[in-house]
Amino acid sequence: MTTNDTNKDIVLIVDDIDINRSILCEILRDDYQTIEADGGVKALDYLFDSDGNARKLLPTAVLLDVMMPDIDGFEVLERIKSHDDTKNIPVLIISASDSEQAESRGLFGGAADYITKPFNHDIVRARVDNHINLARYSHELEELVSIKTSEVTRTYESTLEVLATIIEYRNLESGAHIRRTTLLTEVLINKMLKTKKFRAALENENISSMIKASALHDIGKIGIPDSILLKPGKLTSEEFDVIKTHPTIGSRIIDSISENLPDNDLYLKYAKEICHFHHERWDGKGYPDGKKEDDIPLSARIVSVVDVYDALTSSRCYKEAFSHEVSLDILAQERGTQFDPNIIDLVPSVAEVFRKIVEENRDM
Amino acid sequence: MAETTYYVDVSDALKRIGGSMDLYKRLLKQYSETDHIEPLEESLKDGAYEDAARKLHTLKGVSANLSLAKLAAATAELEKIVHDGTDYNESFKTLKEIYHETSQQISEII
Repeated sequence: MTTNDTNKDIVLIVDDIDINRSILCEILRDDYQTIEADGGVKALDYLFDSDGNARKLLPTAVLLDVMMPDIDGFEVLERIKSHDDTKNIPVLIISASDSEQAESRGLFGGAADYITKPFNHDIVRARVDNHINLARYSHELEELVSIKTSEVTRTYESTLEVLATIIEYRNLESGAHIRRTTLLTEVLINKMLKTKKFRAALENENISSMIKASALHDIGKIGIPDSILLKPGKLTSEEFDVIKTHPTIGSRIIDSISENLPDNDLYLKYAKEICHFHHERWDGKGYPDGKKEDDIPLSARIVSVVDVYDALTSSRCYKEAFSHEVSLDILAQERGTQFDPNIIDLVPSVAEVFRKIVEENRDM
Repeated sequence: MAETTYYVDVSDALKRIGGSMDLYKRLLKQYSETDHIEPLEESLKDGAYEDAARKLHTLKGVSANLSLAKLAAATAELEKIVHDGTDYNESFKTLKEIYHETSQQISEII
């Protein structure tokens, strides 16, 4: 009695008694494609493959008998509700047991509704319709929320990127430094992901957010006066003290943005780490906090290497550019002093890509 | 049980399953293909009360769904007795009589 109409929603009917299935199929056949399972085993087999993964074509709703000889309805319900891909499928328990205990066990187990035998044609149909509409509505809402959330995220991320670029223009640079920092960070992180040493540490991070956040490392420079930031030649130690405030200013800017956003935003978490700590040194002699070694967040340790490499290979108002080779030598000399030695050890293997990135993204 | 008049409550059944007599006949035929009493009697004789209760539960659902009103009521009563562990002999005898009368009436309908 399985109807074959692919445009209709599928309702899976699970009952070990064929007459009960027949009646339900009959009630639902006009509006739904019905599929019958004569027990818990068959039902689970229809929903999941042998590895426990949910199948591609899932029912829109499940009508589930409780008392079945192989696997009972409560167990099937639990399996459906404990898998991410199936947990939103409305399950309507159908049972001849009119005990409150069974009813509450079903409902607390995540069943959408509880229908007792004998079935009433109109009521069964109305309840199935209602729960399918409700599930669809809440699914649509979820999708809408996630679309809107990613729109908002994109908006503030691109706002921050623009902010970073504006700040760089003020430094009389062209935005190319930011682009290079992002590209170099991406190359280095991808290399690190291939090493035992860093894979575990990076696996639980959101890599693409971390890469994007590297672009923001210098936004604190907005708080540094032109007379110092753009001064050609050597800075006095007082002036250098002012320069050293840019990581703290940057992390405060990120804080003020975070106030209005959820705490778990990884992009902002990395941005704050990177702003605040990208001038810390492995040996603890950096600024602003003098943190050392693993106390410095990994994101900032990565960006500090990339930032210095890019600074060395660029000309600035106070210095000429070093060659690629000389810059690599300088990084190597600072292995274990300024930089995380394990990160520096990976630089030779990406050196050629680094050189290309710098070459192809020169200041304009 | 006295107030339950019909063995086979056709109009009630048709109301619930959407009015098709053809369908109802098909379902009744499906029902009558299985002997529901003998396996139940076996379980009771063997003292397999949990088994018996499950079979009664199933029969209760099916008979209620088909509007076999007297049978559904008698099954529910016996299920309760078996569940409570009190003497079921009298109640089973009644159930058997109702079951056979129901089957008789069904065979006249289909």
